[in-house]
Amino acid sequence: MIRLLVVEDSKTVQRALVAAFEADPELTVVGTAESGEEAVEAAKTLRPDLITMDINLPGMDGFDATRAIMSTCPVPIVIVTGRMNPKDSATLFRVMEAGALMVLAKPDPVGTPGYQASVDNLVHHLKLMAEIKVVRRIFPTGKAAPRPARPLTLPSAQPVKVVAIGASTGGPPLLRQILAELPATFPAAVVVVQHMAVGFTENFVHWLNRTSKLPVQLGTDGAQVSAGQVYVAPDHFHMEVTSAGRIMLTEAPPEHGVRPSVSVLFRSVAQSYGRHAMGVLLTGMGKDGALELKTIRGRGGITVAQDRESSMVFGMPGEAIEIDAAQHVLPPAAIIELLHRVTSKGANAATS
Amino acid sequence: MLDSEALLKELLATFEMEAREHLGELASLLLALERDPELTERRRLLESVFRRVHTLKGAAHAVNLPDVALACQRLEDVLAGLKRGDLALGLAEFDALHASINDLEQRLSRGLSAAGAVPSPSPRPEPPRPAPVVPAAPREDGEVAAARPSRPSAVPVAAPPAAPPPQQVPEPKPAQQHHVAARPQGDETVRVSARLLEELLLQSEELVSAKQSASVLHEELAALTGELALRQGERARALERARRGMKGGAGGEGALAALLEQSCQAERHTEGRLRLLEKSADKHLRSLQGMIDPLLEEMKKLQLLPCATVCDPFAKLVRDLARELGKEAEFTYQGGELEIDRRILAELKEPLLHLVRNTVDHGIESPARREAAGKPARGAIRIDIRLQDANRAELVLEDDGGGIDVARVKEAALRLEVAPAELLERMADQEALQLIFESGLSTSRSVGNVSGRGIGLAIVRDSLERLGGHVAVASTPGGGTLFRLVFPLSFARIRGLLVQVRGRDCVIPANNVEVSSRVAVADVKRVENRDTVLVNGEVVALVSLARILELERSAAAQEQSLSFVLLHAGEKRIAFAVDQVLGVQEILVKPLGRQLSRVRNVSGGTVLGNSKVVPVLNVADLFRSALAVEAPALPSPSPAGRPRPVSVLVAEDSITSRTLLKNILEAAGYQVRTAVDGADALSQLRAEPCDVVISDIEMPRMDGFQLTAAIRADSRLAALPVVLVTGLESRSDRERGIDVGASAYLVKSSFDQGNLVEVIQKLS
Repeated sequence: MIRLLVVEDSKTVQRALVAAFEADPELTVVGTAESGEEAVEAAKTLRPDLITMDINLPGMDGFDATRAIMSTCPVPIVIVTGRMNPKDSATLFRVMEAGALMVLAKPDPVGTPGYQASVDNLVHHLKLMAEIKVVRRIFPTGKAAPRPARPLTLPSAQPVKVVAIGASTGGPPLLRQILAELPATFPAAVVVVQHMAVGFTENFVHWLNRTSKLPVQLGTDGAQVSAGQVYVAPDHFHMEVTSAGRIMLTEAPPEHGVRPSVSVLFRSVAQSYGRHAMGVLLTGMGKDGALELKTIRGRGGITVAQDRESSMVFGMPGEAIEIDAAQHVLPPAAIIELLHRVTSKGANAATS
Repeated sequence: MLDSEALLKELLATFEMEAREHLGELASLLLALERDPELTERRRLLESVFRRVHTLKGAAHAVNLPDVALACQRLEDVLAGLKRGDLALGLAEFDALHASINDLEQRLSRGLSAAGAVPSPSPRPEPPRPAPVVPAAPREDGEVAAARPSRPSAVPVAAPPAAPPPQQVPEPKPAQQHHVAARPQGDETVRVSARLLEELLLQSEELVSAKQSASVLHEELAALTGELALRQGERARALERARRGMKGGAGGEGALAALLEQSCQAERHTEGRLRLLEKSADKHLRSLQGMIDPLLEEMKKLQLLPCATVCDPFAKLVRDLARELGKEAEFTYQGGELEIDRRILAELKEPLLHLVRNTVDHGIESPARREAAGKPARGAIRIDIRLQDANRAELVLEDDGGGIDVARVKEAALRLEVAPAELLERMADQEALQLIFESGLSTSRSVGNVSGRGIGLAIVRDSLERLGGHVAVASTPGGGTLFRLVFPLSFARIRGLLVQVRGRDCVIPANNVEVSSRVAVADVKRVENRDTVLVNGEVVALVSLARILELERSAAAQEQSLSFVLLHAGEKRIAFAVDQVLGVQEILVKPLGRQLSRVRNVSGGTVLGNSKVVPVLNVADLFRSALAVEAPALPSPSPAGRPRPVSVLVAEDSITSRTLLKNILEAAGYQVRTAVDGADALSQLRAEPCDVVISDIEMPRMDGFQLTAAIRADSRLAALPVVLVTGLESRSDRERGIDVGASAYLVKSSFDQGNLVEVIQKLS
């Protein structure tokens, strides 16, 4: 039985959510809160297995509440919110930086045809998230990301033309951090698959753009991939990169239950770029992309998996390490360092 | 698990409450924003506005009201823009924002009524609201555009109605309860529907009848014990005699005496047990009182709401109205935390609305005129509420506007002939001002759609008086106007059935009304000398209410059917014929006042909606009166109502029989005097005659025969009917009774109450 705390300032929505959750035999709502303060208090006293958190709350908002909860009594927190204007994405993903696992959409209105499916989807994800062991997070006041002291030795000198990054649960803040640290002159294209609830990918791109020096966009079918650009796979489509350097969006069946899937992206990148490809598999639940990371490695590309300590969920990277797909197992700061090095090296190599 | 229809219904109900709360808060937040706070405060307010709109959007989406959600979305976009940019909001932008809120409110009402979940929250129809403020953007184009050319339409106003309103949708706009749970401080609060509270109150009020019957039970027990106690002397005498008999007598007599002694002892025993019963009944009554009285007190507290619930919406109303009239006005209030009966607040709402609108319309001058008079351009309207004493509150509505021109009031009063010219001439200004509460009197030169028709203030006065309060006005020319409203904190309201009797209205407490109906005259049956009707298979006495109330019988045309109301008081039920039944009303019973300590059949008065003062009938009295005059047939012409009840003198030496007779006769409506024997009776009769004498035969000093003979011998008393009641039934006695001139002869063993009363009625 999964014990839920529902945080939502609208009584109506709160009632609707509770009704939807209680209808599932494995979920039980142990408490509701209407403000951030109440949420923090309830998290402490009720010790729920999972919290669904609204973002806009009176007083302490969803961000502050999540931060407070994650730094005192960590609980898996999932954001359940309505669709948002892409321009207001900041608040949404700030909560993820504070430790929320993922964003999920509120169910469709009761009585509409889509209601049951939307509830099922929401409940399915909640059950997955409830299993995640979250750790207490200490939020640094300064923004000093420690860099590894020892430079990495690099196994190959091929110029990397495409960096493919796959991420799931806990990925957005990492991606933001990574992209923010890449220089505007980054000489390779970046293609990204981030598992995301339908409807929020656009917000995600918008949010990334706020800090990224490289332009971030949704991948569009047939677009020419060019260096220094970031392409994020849109909702509902697998994203591949062809050997002609074009983006291809397909509606092939989901892999590992998801679409877009990291596997499809990595496979195409391995196929099309071989030794000029780099695969980075970040935190996330499941195995999406692990086997295909090995494919990239097999075709001479560079492969990286995030290390256990920094991964919110050590599923995908763990699997990759298990099957020996990753050449490097690194924390985020070292991944950034590596990206700098392989590309500048690659650039040097290309010019020499 | 709920099925989705039930869930949706529940969600809609939740949503309605939530939405009203948000809208109310949004209006006040915008007003606070408009007061031009400093930057951080403005940010905070804007953030709150944004959050509320966003939450409302989410909630509207959850209950599938896309129209409302869309309007929220548009508003949210605008707000997000405002939030991101650091811009100055002008009057025009605020107009547009307020208009958006109004628009949202209308969509909400439409949406909710379309979703079929509008439990009309306020039973009173709302007075017509001003038409939504027309979007200001194009109107003041030049100014706005010049000020901020970069964002010409930053506030794109209420979305044009997506679809024309399908029909004239009534606008249930109460926001009445939006504060019940909106106050975070203090105890935890629970939102409960007002209807449920109302029902609870009614149900607990019904407990009062349980208390009353316990009290009646106790009284009866006490009376019975008292009667037995009074017999103590008699018993002692009987015992003594019995003992004497036992000593002297033998055989049968001795046995009889022993029997008598036994029975006397048994009676004493019974008396003791009765006394115990009475005591426990008394205890029972007290404990019931101890439970019910505090319960009712607490229930009344549940009806309390802070005055803020009524005052809050005025802030927005004043703002919108002033803008519509090209004025500026700000509304503030104090004392909003004072808690008053919800129903009183509901009654106050409309008069206050009239006053506030009136103040904005007539009181507050245009900004130009205000500035010319050296006042701030923005007018101030202020409400102060405070307790006057334990039972009354005082509300003062004050403005700093132009005041009321007494000369014009007098002029208008003269025109309307409210008062004669010479009286007006002499009338003090303060007194003349009160004339504005006269119906039809308006000093406004133009009749606007806001006010000026001269009806509003009359309504205000009527409403206040209906509540049992009053209103007065004071004004300083050029300095403003002050209305003082005084009203009670709690409500002595009952539901009453309004009936008409001989063209007069009166009210019967609905608690006592079992049913009201019509019956064909032909179906009125005369049984045992009374009119009766059949109600639900039961025969009930029918009495003319007009006769009970001693109203003149008009020469009304004989109708085919007549209306009646079936009343009950305790166990008794009687149908009262009335001219017509007008309906049930909630009324406020007012006591008769000190001048009239007691009026038969009337318990108080009430002021009806049409300002008519109407008596509230006392049902217990009605029953007493009905039993006293029940005999004459209803449809047949009867002599005019009796001027006074029939008086009866009871002569009886046994205290038991005397009390019994007295009780029977009084219950039947007679005025009863008693005498202990014939001599006593005769001297009483000579001092003050009566209508009928009822006498025992065997009495000390002067027996019944002697008394009858003495009465017949007295010239002043000769015609007096005398009824002889005796325990002996012997033909010789009866004959002797007739001989001495007794009018009737009743034997105790055979008599019952009906028999006795019937005989007296025949004789008197």
